[in-house]
Amino acid sequence: MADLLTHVLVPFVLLTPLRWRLDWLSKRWIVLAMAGAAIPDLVKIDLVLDNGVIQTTLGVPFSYDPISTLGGVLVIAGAIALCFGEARRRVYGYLVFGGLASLVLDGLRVFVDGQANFWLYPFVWRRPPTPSLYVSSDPRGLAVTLAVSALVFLLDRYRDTWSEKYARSGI
Amino acid sequence: MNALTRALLIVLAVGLVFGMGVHYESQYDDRWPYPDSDSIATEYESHVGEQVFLFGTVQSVDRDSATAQLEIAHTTGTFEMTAQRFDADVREGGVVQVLGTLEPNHVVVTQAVAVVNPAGSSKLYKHGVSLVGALLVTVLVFKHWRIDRETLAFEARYDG
Repeated sequence: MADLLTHVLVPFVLLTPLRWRLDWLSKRWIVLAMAGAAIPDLVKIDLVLDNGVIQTTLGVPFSYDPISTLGGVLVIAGAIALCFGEARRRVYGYLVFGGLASLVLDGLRVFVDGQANFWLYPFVWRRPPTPSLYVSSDPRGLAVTLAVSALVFLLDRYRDTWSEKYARSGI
Repeated sequence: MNALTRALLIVLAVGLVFGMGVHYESQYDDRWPYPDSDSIATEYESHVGEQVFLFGTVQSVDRDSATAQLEIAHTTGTFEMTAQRFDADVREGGVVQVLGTLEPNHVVVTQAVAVVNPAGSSKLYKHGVSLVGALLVTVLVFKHWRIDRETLAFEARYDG
C-alpha cells in the first residue's frame, strides 16, 4: 500500500478546493477524512502482533488483511464514529470517504500479474485489475503528493487571509 | 446514545472485524489463483509445474547467471527459492513479486518480476514516512477535536 503520509494527504488535496465553494465543508471535517484515510493502514498492526501468533494462540485461521478492504473500512469507520458525541453520521461519511480514497489509491499499485488484492472484500470476492502505476517505496509518488498538497495549502492560506481582509475592510 | 451503549457497539464492531479476519483467511486459499506460501512450504512437490506468485526478500543476485536467491515467508517460518531468468534491478534485502513456474529443487523460472522495495532500506523509508503521516493526522485531529471528559466522546473544539 501507499505510505500513510500519502494516504492522509490525498483527502486534503481532494476536499480543500471544495471547501472554497462549500461553506459547510470546514477544516475539521476534512481532518476527519484524513483520519479515515489512515484506516486501511491499521493493517500494519501485524508489525506489533503477527497474525501467525493469533492463529497459533487461538487455533483459528486469521488474517489482518480485511482491515485494508471495503468491509474493514466500513466497520472500523463505524467504530470510530461511535467515539464522537455528535453528528456521528456525518463523521462516519467523512471517515469512509478517506478510507475509500486510500483503498482506490492502493488498488492502483503494482501487482506483477496485473490484478490487485481483494480490496472489495466482502462484497466482491475477486481481484480487480490494476494499472500497476506505482510501488509504495518509490519516493516520486510522495514527492508529487507533497508538491500538490503544498500548493493547495498555500492557496488555502491565501484564500483565508484574503477573506479576513475583505471582511475587515467591510467592502 | 450513552457511553455504555457506544462501548458495546464498538466491541461488536471489533468482533466483526475479527470475524472477517477469520472468514477471509479460511476462504483465501480457494480465492487466490496460485498456491500460497504455506502450501508451497509443506507440499512443494505437488505444486511443481504450476504457476506461482511469490513475494520474496532478495538474499543475493547473480547477474551473470540471471538468478536470485529469495527468502519466502509463510505463516510459521521461511524457505528459500532460486529464481531463474531474474533480470530485476534490486539489491540484497529488497522485496520482489515473482510470477513464474515452479520447478523441482526449490527453483522458480521467472515469467515476470516486479520490484516492491529496491533495497532493505526501502522498508525503513516507508515506515519513517508513515510515522510522519500518523503524527500529522493525530495533531490535526486534536487541533480540531477534543475529548469531552463527561461524555467520553470527541467534540468539536469550535463551531464551524
